[in-house]
Amino acid sequence: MREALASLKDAVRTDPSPENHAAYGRLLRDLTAMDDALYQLRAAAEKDPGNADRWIELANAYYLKPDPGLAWNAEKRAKQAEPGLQLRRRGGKVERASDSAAQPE
Amino acid sequence: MNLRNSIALGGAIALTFFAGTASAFEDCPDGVTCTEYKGSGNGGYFRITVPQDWDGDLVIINHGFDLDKSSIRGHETCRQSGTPVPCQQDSDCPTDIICNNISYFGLEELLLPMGKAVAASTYSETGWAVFDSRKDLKEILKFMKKHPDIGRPERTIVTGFSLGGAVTADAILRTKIDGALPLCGAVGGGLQTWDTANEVRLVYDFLCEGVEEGTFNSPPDVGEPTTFNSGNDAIGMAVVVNKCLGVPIGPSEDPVEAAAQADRLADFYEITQFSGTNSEVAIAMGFATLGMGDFVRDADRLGGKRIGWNADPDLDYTTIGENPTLAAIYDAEVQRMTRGPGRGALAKSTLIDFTKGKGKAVDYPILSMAGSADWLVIPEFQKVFTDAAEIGGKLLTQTWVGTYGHCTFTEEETAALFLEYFDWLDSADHVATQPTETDIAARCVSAEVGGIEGDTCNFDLGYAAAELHDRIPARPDWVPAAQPPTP
Repeated sequence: MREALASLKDAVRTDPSPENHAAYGRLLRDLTAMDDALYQLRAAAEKDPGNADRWIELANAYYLKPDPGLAWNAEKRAKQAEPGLQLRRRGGKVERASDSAAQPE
Repeated sequence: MNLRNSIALGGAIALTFFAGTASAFEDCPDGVTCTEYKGSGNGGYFRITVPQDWDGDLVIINHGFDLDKSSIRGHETCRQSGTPVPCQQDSDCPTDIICNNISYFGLEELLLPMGKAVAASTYSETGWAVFDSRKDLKEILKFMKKHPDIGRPERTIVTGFSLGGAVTADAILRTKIDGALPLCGAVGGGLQTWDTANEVRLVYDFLCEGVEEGTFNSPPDVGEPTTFNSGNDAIGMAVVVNKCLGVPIGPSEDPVEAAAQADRLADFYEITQFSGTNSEVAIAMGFATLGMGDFVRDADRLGGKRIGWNADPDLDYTTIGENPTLAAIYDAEVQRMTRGPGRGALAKSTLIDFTKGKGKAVDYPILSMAGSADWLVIPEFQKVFTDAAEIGGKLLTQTWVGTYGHCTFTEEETAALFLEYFDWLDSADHVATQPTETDIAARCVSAEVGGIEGDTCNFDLGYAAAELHDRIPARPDWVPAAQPPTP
């Protein structure tokens, strides 16, 4: 696990792309390091502001923090990024209303 | 889209101010002119935003549980040691350093246009900050009273999410305020809350004893030590949990060990009745280990005095959970602890009792919103609070949102709650105008303007929370509202 973290951290350092920030942020989130995760997921969304999925992922992380206000803002940013986007909640998570994926665990 | 129109600077003795400009965390909505003030005191930091057409009400918005010691610093300063460095966003700080945001949780968008001033504090303590939070809130009021541009608010209303709900409950019961709205609040009281967390740890220890690299070394009612690097602490905790239970990262590659992890995880759910997902087990364990250690080990709080109590007399665990056979084994093997010397101090933070002191004197309405499917701040904690209010004869309306998760309220649900609350607070007869949960749900539907498809207004009308003493055995020193009925 420590190796995976170090590898993703290194990837962000060498290539601070939205994808690398998001991957590192997801692992930090799963490991409950929420402030560090939010830092990475914010960077991913801000570097890729037209990608609604980045804002949806950020919104879900803010709900875990919990900071509902910043989650609401991230939901709005998702809708700005993709006009007409409909959101819904399943299993406690915000997602695209069009998603047909199975309910999470 | 939002503009901050002015930033006030000051220089009163014992208060520190930071200059600022336009912020990435805007707090003055379109069409509203605001002044923002920043200050510090009692070891914490705060910010206050006052609209130009201030009606005299101040709403103090309290944040949730945070173990990051570096978050106790000024609004919009980089979370790094040394001289405060102002920032407006993370990219203004060195790599990996967060720009600190003392959040208003989006409530400023609703309250400032209503003419209400808003304020928020970092508190002076991390984690279970309720030992001293009332002093942190008083620093805000002291600042306002002394500042010639603001003055003392006519009414002070306290609200907060999660741990901020515990801060709200403590303010109700130990200070003089004029209104309160706990939100997904940890309002079960200090002993009841941390006895529940301690039970989670005891179950973990029972299941994970002997699992290589899957156990914690600390006494369960003292908790794990914390450091200045809370992210690293959390990762270390989650790695240990993963070794024993195979979550949150995933099971062992060894199929035999993976099967053992799955069995232990299933038993964990059965004994604790934990209602969260696999990925949330580690968050609960974080509270039970690091959250516990943060205040028990702190020299300024419990100074290492442990808080457990399940022996002398031995508590009966044979009826807990969903599997009587497993419960019987757990009852025989669980670690037993005599009454911890830290319980007295913990009980005071917060003591959920409306029959004495400032709690007895409460004469304003309280409106609470919580999740009926909250896996962290469980509905049983709200039941303790509402029962205590009922015993004390207080006016309290409890609303439930059915969305799964902790504090997963929509903007519309929250707005409906505050709009109904101010109608109630402003009325001449609080008894006659007490809103029902149906009234608040209707207000939400009437204000619905988009939000989340299908569940913008997700009030769980008629929901009734279970009793905490049916989930874990009651301790003799719990408040009356948490005790089982006497035969």
